[in-house]
Amino acid sequence: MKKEIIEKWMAEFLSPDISADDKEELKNRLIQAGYDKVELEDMDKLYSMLDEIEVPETSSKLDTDFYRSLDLHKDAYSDKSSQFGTFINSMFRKKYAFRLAYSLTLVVFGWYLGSWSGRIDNNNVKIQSMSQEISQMKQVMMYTMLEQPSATKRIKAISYTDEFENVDDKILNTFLDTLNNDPNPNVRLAAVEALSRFSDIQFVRKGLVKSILKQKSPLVQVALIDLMLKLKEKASKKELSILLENRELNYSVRNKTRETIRLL
Amino acid sequence: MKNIFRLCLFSLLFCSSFYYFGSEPEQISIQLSNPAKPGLVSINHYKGSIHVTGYRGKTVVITANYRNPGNENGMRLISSSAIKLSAEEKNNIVIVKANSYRRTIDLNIRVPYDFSVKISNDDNGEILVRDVSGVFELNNNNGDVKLLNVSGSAIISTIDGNIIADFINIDPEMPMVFSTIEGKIALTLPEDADISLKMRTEYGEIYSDFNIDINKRKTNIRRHKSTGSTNITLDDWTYGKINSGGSEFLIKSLNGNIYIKKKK
Repeated sequence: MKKEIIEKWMAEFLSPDISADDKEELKNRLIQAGYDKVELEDMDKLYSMLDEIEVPETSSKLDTDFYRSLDLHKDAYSDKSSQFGTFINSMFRKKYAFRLAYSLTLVVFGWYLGSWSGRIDNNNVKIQSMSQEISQMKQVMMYTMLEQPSATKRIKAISYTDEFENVDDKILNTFLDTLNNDPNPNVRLAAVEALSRFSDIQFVRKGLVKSILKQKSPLVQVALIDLMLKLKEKASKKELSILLENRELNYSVRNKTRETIRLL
Repeated sequence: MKNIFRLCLFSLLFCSSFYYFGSEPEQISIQLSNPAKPGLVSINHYKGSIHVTGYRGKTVVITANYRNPGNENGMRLISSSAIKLSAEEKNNIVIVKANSYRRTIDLNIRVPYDFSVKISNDDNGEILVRDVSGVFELNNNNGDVKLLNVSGSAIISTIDGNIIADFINIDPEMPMVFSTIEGKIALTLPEDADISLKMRTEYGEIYSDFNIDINKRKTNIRRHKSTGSTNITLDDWTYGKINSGGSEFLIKSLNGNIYIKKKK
């Protein structure tokens, strides 16, 4: 027999609302199920006695006290929970928002920085390659311009060396050629000035010394003699002495040559 | 009235003198291939003055005179060889030739306002270019070179002469060179010109009424490509900037002064 059914029978048996017949039948069933007859009767008596016990009325004070304390408890709990909850929530939200803002800022900043530095890098690279290209273009232009019939353009071509970061032997040889062969004395003068900046290079220095005797114009002669003095180029003494032998040498150039030989 | 009479008499005598001495001026008028475009007149002269003047016209007019011969050992000149004046034009470039090796020939040339001039002369006269706009390449070994009311750029050299150049406007893109041994160099430049100056005179002085930003000793540092060597030189040149600086003017005399004047 199932325990639950027996318990149900027991509850019905003890209930005061049951009829005498039903009670007798349930009593028999419970005895069959293993309950003692005396025990069952005692229990029945006890239960009927319990019904007879008077339950005192609860005072209104108790009610109010109870509900107040309940309210208090509820309030306390709700307060605590709400404060804590909002705190947690807010913390969580704030943190989240902060994080979100932070990461957004980081992303934006990173993107900006990236694009910015990228731009700088790009620009630098661009500028570098552009200046290289310009330099190359100017070199090409320089060679073309040196062939021009206009002396102004040839001088302009020579002046480009100021803008070249590096010059190679080809340019310097071209200038030595200009120095010795250009028909215009001012172009040759400009060539002396340009070459004087590279006079520490051996072949340029030799070229300058050799050029002294190739010059017909006193303007270029003076420029070269000046340069020899400035460079303290003792090797040029021979050329200068030969120059003095020239009868047609300009008076001022002659004086200058003498002076230079003396100082060297 | 008296003055006019004198003038007539003077001009009559002046003209008849040519007639008597048999040295009538030679004149050639040259049409340009493209009168709307600027041109160039080029002369390799030996002895004489050469005056080039801009005028309101489309052709190049060249007049050649023997220098007034006067008397020689008490005798008048009654006949002389004809002036061999020739001029040829190609693509607006006019090349003028005159046989001035034996006798001094003065040339008067009228050109349209937009015209470049290229003259090389050796002796017995000055080169004067006025009222034109263009590029001027002038070399006069033993005489003065003068530019008056010109615009553009110039490359001028002389040995014994002075250089006097009066610019209305300068070409900011073009470098200029003015060099002489014995003479002075006097440049008159527009007040607002942007120029970088590189000047030197060994026995003269430099004067200017411009507020020139002077940099007396400039250190030149140059690097050579193959050797990687660096050359540092101290200069004897005087560097200066007029206004914000620009194309370089190389101005060099040995014995003369240098004047840089504001155009008033």
